[in-house]
Amino acid sequence: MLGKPNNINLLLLSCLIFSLLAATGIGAVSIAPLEVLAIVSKKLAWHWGNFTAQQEVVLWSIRLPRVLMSILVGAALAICGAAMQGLFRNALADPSIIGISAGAAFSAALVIVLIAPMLSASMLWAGFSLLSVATFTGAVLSTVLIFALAREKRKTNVVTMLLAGISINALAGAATGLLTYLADDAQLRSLTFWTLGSLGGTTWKAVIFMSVATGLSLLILLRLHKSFNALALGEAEAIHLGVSVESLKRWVIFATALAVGVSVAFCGMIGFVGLVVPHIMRLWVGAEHRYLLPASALGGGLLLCWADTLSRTWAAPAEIPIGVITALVGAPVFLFLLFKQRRAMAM
Amino acid sequence: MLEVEQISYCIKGKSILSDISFELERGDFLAIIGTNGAGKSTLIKTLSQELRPSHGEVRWKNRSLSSWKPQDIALERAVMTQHVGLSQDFKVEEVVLMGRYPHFKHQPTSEDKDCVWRAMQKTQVEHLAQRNYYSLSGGERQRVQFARALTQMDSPQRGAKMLMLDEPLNNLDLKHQHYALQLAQDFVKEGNILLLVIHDINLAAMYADKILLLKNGRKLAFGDTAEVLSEQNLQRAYEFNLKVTAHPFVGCPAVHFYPT
Repeated sequence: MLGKPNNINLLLLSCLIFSLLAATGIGAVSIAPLEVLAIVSKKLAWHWGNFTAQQEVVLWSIRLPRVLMSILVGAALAICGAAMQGLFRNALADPSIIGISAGAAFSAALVIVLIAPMLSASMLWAGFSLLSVATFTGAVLSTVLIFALAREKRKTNVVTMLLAGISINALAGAATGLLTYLADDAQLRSLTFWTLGSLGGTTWKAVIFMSVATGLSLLILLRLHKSFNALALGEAEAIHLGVSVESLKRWVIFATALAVGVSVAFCGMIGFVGLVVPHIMRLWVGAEHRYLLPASALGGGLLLCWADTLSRTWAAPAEIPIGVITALVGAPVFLFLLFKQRRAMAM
Repeated sequence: MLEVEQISYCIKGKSILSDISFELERGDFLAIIGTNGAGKSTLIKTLSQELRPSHGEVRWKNRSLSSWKPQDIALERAVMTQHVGLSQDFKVEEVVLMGRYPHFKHQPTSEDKDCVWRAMQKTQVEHLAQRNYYSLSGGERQRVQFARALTQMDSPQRGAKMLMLDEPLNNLDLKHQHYALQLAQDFVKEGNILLLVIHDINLAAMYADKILLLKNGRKLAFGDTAEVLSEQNLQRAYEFNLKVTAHPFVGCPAVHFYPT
């Protein structure tokens, strides 16, 4: 009973490990999977195998952090998407619904168009760019605002949260639009790049931050699998099953704001992953969140790992924005699955 | 065991329930009847804490319901509401397993799985175990939800438990209506309490041993089935032509509505 989805998750996990080895090897300097392992072992003070110094530098300071980052960000976006769809009992929900992207986009525009020209361009704050700090703050603040608007009588009204989310999104969108209008050509270009997302220039420091954020949100969300399932019956029914729905809401909002906020801060907006990966996984492993949540995380990591590999190799040395790739690859796959499912249901 | 003390519920100054009191003991099967808008579902919702009563108190095992932890009361009270929608398409056995959620932490034990299987056999949905919920008919969905409620209450070590069913017979054919009520009766015979909101007075008369008759949010009558189901009481509640006779095979009251 219920054995099959576990096998799918194991398969996804092995694909992810394989992808990590393969994707780090792909690029202008190619590195075989075994060489990748040898270089990593050397860093852990265990010498074996042959590789060049150039390979070592490329892998350790450029490629490995970047590929790890793509997996971490993809996992965070996808599991948070699955959590949002569970929380709002709506298949169209994704992290942007609680204002994360709108808040982040607004503060990014604010920094790029108004603040950066006034300060020195290379200003850092605790080692992070002003843009990163500001977008994270913007993402978290707008989430907190929407959450606060939806509170009534010590309860959170999910419908109000949805509607508050829509209006805050519209408001932030208008402000972002105004700033875009004021921007000059160079600012417009960096704004566009930010909006489409990029993993270029990922540092180890960013990887460490992202792995803490992703790790925490995985830890929080995976433990809530029963609550998500029960919520599918309805809020009242979930409460009758002993689920504390209010604490579920708080944990989900916290985990999502943290993980997606950090990923937006480092990589800009990467759309599509949070919406589509949970859908694809639901068609494959079913709605049971015990399997759906880990499958979404693994699938998101897998998708973003290869999307980023494509983004940096397809038109090398130029880079295609990763948001373009995720939509370009994800949408047809999604449509294909949708039609396949419809045919299966018609039979 | 279950004490309902002067419960009232108002919303925006309009009184939906006023001054309802009654007590139930182990082995009581209560049917709540009345016209549309009489307050039957609102009463179930206040007893299941979906709504907070404006006045009054409900006690279970001598403790106020509000002092029970949600996780603890879920082990002793199951509720089947009128419209259970499922926002995602689960497998039938996964839906029934949700009834065991109060009983396990992360991984269902083999005992939980046995309980699920037992409940599915009782409501005759075990052949649907691997089917997707969305592919079921209305009556089959109802039986799956009933199995979920039954399996939630499947824990002999907890003592008396209560099951609240709000019109559980919707979409069921006549045979399955009787099967469901027989299961409800079996549950009561194990020393539990059952509250049933139902429109069919004759089914209520056949299976319930206590009846609460509501009108405009007030208690019109409460007591043993034969006592409450008098022509006088029913006429006041329903304002319709009716006669009460004895059922030819079972002997319980049989209520006949007829047009003028």
